[in-house]
Amino acid sequence: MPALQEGFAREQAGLMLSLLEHVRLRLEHEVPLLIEDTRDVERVLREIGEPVQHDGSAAEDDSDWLSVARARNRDASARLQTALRAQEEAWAGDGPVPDQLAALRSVTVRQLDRQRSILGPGYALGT
Amino acid sequence: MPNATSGTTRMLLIEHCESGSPAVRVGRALSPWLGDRWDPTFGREHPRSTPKGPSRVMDVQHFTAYLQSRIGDVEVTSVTRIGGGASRETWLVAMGRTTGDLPEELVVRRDAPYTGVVPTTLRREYDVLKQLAREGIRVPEPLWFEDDTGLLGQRFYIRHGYRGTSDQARFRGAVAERLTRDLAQELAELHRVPIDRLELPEGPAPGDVAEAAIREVDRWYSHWAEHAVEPVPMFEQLAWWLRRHVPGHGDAPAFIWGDVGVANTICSEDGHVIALSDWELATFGDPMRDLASGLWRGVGQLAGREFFLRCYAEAGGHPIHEERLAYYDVFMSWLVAGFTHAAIAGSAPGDGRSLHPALLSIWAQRVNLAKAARGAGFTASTKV
Repeated sequence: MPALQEGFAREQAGLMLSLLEHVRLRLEHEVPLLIEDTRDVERVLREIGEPVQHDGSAAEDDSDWLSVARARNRDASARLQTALRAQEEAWAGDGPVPDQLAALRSVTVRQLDRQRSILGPGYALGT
Repeated sequence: MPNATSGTTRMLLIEHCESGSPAVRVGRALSPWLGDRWDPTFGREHPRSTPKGPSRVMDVQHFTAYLQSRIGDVEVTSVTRIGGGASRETWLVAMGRTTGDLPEELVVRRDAPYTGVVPTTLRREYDVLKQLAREGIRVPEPLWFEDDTGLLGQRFYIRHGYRGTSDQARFRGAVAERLTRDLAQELAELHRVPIDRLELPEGPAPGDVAEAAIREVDRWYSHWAEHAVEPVPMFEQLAWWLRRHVPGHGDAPAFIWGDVGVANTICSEDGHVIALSDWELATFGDPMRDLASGLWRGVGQLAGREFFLRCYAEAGGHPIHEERLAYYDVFMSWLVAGFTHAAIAGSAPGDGRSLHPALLSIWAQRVNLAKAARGAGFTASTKV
């Protein structure tokens, strides 16, 4: 790596430290964001007739809300991915996009937008 | 909300990720100023989820003993790890005394002790170099391959070392134009190599570039699915888009580099290409993928996008297809998102106090997924 000019490096370091603080704050807000995402995914899955296995009551007494929220969101994401794959496989690719597939695609986009606002080492690992 | 630094600096950092520069390079460069926020093991011998075995220390003593047992009376003065690759280790060996045709500098490419993010074997990389060198393509001259993992801990090969730079930031003005022209010339020559003179372990070349693209999408999708640590519906969605929008039906494939960029090129200070390196993604495919790869990695920022494409055309390259460039731009972002997901798989949870590798990997994955989604037209609102 070439030597960085100190001014530029300090500016970048300041940004990285801000991002670390941002991560810390995001972790504080991660639960409501995950809940919102899970609800969005499950709503669309219900609308297109996909079974929703999670009944919303499991582990409500669990004080580790973050772990519960992450686990439920991973489960919802997995079902979204499976449903998306099935819909894509079923569609020949000709003509307009079927409504159900369009609904799944739109929720995937919303999910990506939410995921990008959540940055933290534990999120991706479900821990 | 924390005090935010200027929008300009935020965009600079995002551009690092957007241009394909590994986020790890940003973190490393800033480490002197980050203090105890920086995890010093990041990017070095970081433990991965599937270690393959111990890695023997690479130092002057061990490497001298190895070379002397193989070649004879030689002297090694230094052994230095270089590069920031995620799949292999690259070591520069300076010789104090050589024998025969052995050059004064050697490079050792060694398997990492953990599973790399790119699932191509070191042997394949070496064989590709041998074949391309035979065809007169400017690649680092491979010397020999060692299959015996007992020698240096992992399989490795030795190639000729070269003095040069791979830092695009060093090139401006006329020198940048010269480098652009050189790189375009090398690509055009590569794409002219008759594919029936080259072999890959995966089998014969595909019938056309569309078949090549499908093979690549399926290959890298399977690799991601095998190593995924979490569901990523957008990655799935993009894979389907790539399958449905494959361009170039009927056009003959060429041998492509797959990872074009100055970061993978050894250059002289005055802007000439010395050697094209990092051939892990090389395959039979669409020459437009190489051009798109170069643009994705920022080659267009040397002397302009159109200048680069014009140089390629003037060097006798394949006709330019803009829609295929756009397709492979999406492909590159999707591909890198898959790689960075694999990098997440190898990271251990942190406590949030240090700049954790998973943080940058997750971020890089999200940025690249967003880029690909925009390129695929899923949304105009997936902002960086």
